[in-house]
Amino acid sequence: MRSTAWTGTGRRVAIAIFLAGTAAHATAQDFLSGKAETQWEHWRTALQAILDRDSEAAETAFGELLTAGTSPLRTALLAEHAVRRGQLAGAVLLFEQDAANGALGDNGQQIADLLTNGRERLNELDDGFWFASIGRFDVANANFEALLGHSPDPVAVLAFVDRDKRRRHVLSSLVSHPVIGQSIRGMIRVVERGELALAADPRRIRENIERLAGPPRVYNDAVVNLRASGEFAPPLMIQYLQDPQERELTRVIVRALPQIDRPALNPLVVALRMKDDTTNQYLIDAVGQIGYAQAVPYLLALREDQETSSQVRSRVDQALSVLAQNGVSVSAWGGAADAFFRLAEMYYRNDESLMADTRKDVANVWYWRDGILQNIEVPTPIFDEVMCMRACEESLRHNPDNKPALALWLAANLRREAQLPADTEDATRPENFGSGVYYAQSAGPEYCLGALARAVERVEPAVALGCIEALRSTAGTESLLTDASGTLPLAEALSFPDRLVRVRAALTLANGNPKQAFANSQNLMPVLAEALQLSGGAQRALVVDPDDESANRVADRLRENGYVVQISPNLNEGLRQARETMPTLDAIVLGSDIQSPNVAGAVSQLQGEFQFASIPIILLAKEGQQVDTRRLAESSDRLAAVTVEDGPGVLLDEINRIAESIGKGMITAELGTDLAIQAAQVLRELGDRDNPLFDRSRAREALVAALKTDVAELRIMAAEALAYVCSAEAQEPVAAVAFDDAENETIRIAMFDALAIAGKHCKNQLSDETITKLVSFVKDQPASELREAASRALGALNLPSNPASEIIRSRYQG
Amino acid sequence: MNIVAPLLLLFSAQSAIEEPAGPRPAAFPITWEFRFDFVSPPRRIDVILPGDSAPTTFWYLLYTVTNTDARTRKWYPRFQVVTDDLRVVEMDVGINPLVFNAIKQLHTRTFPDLIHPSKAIGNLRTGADNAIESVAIWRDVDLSSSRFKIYVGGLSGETMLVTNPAFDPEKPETREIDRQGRSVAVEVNPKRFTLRKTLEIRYNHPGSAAGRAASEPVRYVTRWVMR
Repeated sequence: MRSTAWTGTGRRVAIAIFLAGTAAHATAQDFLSGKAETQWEHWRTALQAILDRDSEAAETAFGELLTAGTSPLRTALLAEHAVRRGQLAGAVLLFEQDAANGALGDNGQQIADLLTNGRERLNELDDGFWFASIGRFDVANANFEALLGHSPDPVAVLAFVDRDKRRRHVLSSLVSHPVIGQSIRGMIRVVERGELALAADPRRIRENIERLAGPPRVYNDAVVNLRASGEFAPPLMIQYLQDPQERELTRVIVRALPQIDRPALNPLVVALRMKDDTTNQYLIDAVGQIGYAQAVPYLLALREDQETSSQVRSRVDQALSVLAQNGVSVSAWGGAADAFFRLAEMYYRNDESLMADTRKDVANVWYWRDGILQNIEVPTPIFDEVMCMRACEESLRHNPDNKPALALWLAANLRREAQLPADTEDATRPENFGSGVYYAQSAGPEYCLGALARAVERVEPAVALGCIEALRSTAGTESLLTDASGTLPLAEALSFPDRLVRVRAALTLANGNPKQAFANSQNLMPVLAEALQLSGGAQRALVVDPDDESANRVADRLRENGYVVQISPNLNEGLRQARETMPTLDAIVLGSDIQSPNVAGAVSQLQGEFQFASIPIILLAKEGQQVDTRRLAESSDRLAAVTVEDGPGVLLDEINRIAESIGKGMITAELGTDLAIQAAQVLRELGDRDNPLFDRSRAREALVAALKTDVAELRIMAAEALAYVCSAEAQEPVAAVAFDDAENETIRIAMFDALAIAGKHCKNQLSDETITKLVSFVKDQPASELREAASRALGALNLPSNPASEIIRSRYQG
Repeated sequence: MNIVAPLLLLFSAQSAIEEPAGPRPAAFPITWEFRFDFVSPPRRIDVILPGDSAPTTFWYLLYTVTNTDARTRKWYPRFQVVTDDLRVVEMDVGINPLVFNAIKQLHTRTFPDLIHPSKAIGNLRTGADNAIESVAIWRDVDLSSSRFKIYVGGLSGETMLVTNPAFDPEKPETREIDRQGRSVAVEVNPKRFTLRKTLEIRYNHPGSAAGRAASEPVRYVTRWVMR
């Protein structure tokens, strides 16, 4: 059982709790390990007391068993173990009879209840594996699902699984199975949690540290076990090194420490901050011998620290030499500030040599606090980002003016926020840490542009959106356009594959009212026109499937959910059609039986093209291809597999899940309408400011289309924007709405007012027929407000034919 | 080597074999049960199918099924192979006649009355005189893997209902799915599962992968399970 080691929220877990120690010992023969050994002792004592009919002693032992935190499944395993050993089998029977007769005390009764519950879990486990092994996957799946629904004790599940090596084989064979794969993956996660709990068991680690002093075979065995404990071993090994009572172990620990290899590195480099020079020198040697480049920044930091003793500094130099001998180019890392920045870059680009084990749900981030190493668990998907931010922070400690480090920190923070799985938290951040945008805004445009440049380069919608949001509220016209290095990330974002990023970038740029042409400025109007089409939030999808029937079924499901869908039997033909008819795509569905390219080739092609790199790809697994298709889908977080039989909810859930995981901005109906209104508004303002840089006529068609929507605000804004497009094609549609008796009076008045603006700005572009209609309208319209609005338009058009005279004459009363 | 293996004889040699987990059949038959004799191990045959240039490998199991009950019963055989990596491969009922004819020709002396798998399905009248000789054939499976199991269903009327531990009373038991334009109800949340008394034949294929090509799998368990 882990507990909170220091105040604060979340899953902060300190190695300090391990020092308190829970009982742990792996005895392969019994499959009893970790706390189970203590629990077995209490259980055995209780059963013996039951046999002796000593109810008081039994009650005490049951109480201790409860205090030791026995789980239902563990209790069932203990009972089964007692029966197998034979000597206490009768006691178990007696215990159950006492429970049935109400002869147990409170503690005993609680244990009896745990046993009943645990036997159900044990049956589910047993049946799950049995039915899986005989190919009844539906029954096996139900058993595993039921078990997982009860959050079983991971160490107890691990003990059960390891009783029979075929059970691991069942888990690994069925991990992608269409029926049982999901629950098998759940079981694997439970087993891994069990392994992690065992590996982190402090008593086990302590025993193995002490066994290092044994003969060579014992030493080797202890090293193997410590290696299995991985990053959890160094904190206790360091504690032993610092303990004067354990001095005789120093030599063997120093020898064993580097043998733990790379898993030891993360806690070791953090521990280099300790003030104990003697121990620190051992750690420096170990870090050098382990031989990974990621240690270089920490060693350089130690060397540059004014408080570092000459002895330690000399040891650092030796370690750096050892690293250099192992092929690490130490000189290329520069000083500590540059080295930490370089390390941060490696984390940001998810360098494989630094990544956490992606099979596990959580990873450890290590801190040196209060003289001990402490670990904080973070969800694995954000490990790289958290470490990147830490490395940036270190870089900034050594060089407070390191602008690229600050920009990288902003980008990593935004990405961390986007990748944090739902219902989890990042316990490395203090309470009220603030949003990513908050930090981006505080940093100012220069740093935001730096972070945005990175996001554009790596096609990261979530980071890009955060930066643009910050720029929108902080940047002036000039600072919007150029970052410190002279690049134009915001302008480049106009070509970003994700539509929401493009639109937000265009709105931000246009609101800045730039006066000079900039690279990619030709894309501003098309993107604003694209934004105008977002009213209602229509999504666009391409379905590539050679089978018409399944293609139509999938397309229908998408259309029913607001998608505009293009269907094609072939990928390249489909992409060509989509480019012609759709400004962007929100999802691509690929049938698993497509040809030229086949589905794997198509995925590879799409992921290699910049414009499709951030689009969710759904693989439609056809009969007989489900396992291969699911395996392909598991190769990337931008892929998912569904079957034709799956309901529409599954398809949409998968699209949304991928979109969320990659930070792709999903455009809802409300957001789409809001963006369209903002686009119309900014076009109107560009016209009002008479900004000659942008050819507003390029948005004319989209503005006219916006007039036909049912959103009044958008229609009025679009009409006013059209007023600055000097052509008959812009003025006539506005006039048509104004004359339409079916429209409500407010809209019609707004249209006449827009015509008045058009008249002032562009002069009359209306046809003679429309002018005649307008004059008649002004003469004959009985509704005074409408008539007055029309008269304003008529006057502003400043017609040479003097229609006012005609109107006055028509009302002549003698 | 052909080994005709009467089932009852086989059970006598099973005392050292692990007991199955999960629900077990009744210790003695509680309802009708067919006698099932088969040739062990399954055989391999390579046949060039029409339009192909290379031969396709098929594996087959020759069997004789006899109704020892007093009444005519239906014989709905279900032969499944479960491979070492837990792939379930169904018997190919609609097998190409070429394949069946090739098998029949090979065993014409020992199985003179061999009938096509599709014709073996149906009424099985009582007595040895009405026994059916047929064959279960599989394609797309490699039985030279290190271990595999064959499950033969339809040999007994014994069934068992087991509770679905994951049953959710708040969810519907079935879901409509669209299958080739037709709406079909499939069970997604059944209250119970039905298990049937099924014959399990386990094979081991010792040796290296290369060596297995030249050797035969060894049958090491034949027993009833509820599946």
